[in-house]
Amino acid sequence: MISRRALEFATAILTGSFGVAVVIQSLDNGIGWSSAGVDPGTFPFLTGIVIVAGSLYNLVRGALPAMSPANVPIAITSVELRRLAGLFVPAAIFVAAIPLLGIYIASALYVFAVLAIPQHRSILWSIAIAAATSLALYVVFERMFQVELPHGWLTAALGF
Amino acid sequence: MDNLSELLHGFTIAITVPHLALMVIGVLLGILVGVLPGLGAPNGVSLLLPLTFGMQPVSAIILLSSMYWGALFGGSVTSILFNIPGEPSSVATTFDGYPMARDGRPTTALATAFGSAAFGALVGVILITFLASWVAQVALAFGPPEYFAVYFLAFASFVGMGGAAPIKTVVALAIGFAIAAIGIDTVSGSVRLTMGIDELVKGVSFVVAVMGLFGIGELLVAVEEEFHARAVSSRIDWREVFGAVGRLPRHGVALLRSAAIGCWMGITPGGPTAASFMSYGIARRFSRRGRYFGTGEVEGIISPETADHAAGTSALLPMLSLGIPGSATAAVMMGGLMI
Repeated sequence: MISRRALEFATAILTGSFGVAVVIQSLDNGIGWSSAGVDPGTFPFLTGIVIVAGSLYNLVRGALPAMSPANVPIAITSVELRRLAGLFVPAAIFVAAIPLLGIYIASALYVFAVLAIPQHRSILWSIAIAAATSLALYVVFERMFQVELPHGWLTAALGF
Repeated sequence: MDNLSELLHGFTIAITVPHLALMVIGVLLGILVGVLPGLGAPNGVSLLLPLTFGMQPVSAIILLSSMYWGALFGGSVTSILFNIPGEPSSVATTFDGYPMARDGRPTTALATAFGSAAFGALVGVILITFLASWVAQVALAFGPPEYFAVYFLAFASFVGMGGAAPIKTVVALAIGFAIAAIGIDTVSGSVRLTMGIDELVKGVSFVVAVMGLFGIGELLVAVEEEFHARAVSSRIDWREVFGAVGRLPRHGVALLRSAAIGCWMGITPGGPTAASFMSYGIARRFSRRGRYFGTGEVEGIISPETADHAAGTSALLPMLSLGIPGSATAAVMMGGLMI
């Protein structure tokens, strides 16, 4: 269960740290005026300042007791959280696996896992769909559009 | 009246069976590439460009312009049905189009969008025909300060008129600016905000941003509420289509205002994106039902769509008369016409 207040906090801290990163990074490009005009870091620097300031405001406002009627105390219930995790966790693992296994093996495994485990489809059916997905990706991208998709370290090590 | 007779002469060339067939093919292809969220109008038109190489110049222009309009409209279809805009200029259409489609009125939403798009494009065409030489002078006078003013107005109207807390809108806008600043700066050529990651030198592409912000966000919301895909089914009921188009004249003021905004932004190369956002913001401000915007208001669809297509069409004007494309898609098309 995640409360609305925790969500507001987390969002404000997230956007705030993004803003801090933007400010620090833009200092490398120089802020202010030089002989060439405005330095390239000035605009990102200012946007970073705006992000940090706005995030601080949201942080403080989120900490205060409910100020508007739209403030519901609970934002995400535990049931909803489990559903979200069911989508998000396999997808994150899939993306993490792409550099290692390459997109074809990773997507076959992903489709197989998503079909076989939560949906309780038969193993044979899942394998067929998984193989078809990889094949379709290969035909459409590598053959028809001539776009190279990531092959991954493993396939590279095997010599493809 | 010289212009008028030339326009009619143009129609006699365009309305022949092979050319009409080309138009149908072009619009269908355009809608196809516009609907695919990854492709978008500029990429789609450049993909289809080789098709025109073997053609007569007139046929090539007809095919290219049909694809251009098809692609512009295709972007709105995904905005309304899936809440995933196919291109930047149809982002504003999602605000009211998607709520209306979810409300069980996808046909009305699509028909309204299509009707307003047609009206906007028509106004653009009329403008191109009659004002070409005069407008060309105005467009030439449009420089960086004017660009800044136009975009500033569009963004400021968004902060002021948005439904959410203004500070949150400001933070979101600033994050957008920061993301757009990643990569090589177009003015100085220096590399910004990459944190030493080589992939970021090219910047963050629109496709990635849209898939992350709209696509995955929409998926997560759908999963949170119920575990089945919530793409709205769109069975077409023709009575509803004609009903929606027939109700358009009731929103005549919004139509005319949005067409004017769109034409202005298209000629002065502000582009369809700024036009649709600004038109939506202004409609929200002036409409009597402004506070219902965002829940599936008809005017909330009419305004961005009309402006988007009026701008898209009049963006062809600086291209044809000055050689300055008003939008990315127009730039690709110009490449096609030069060959």
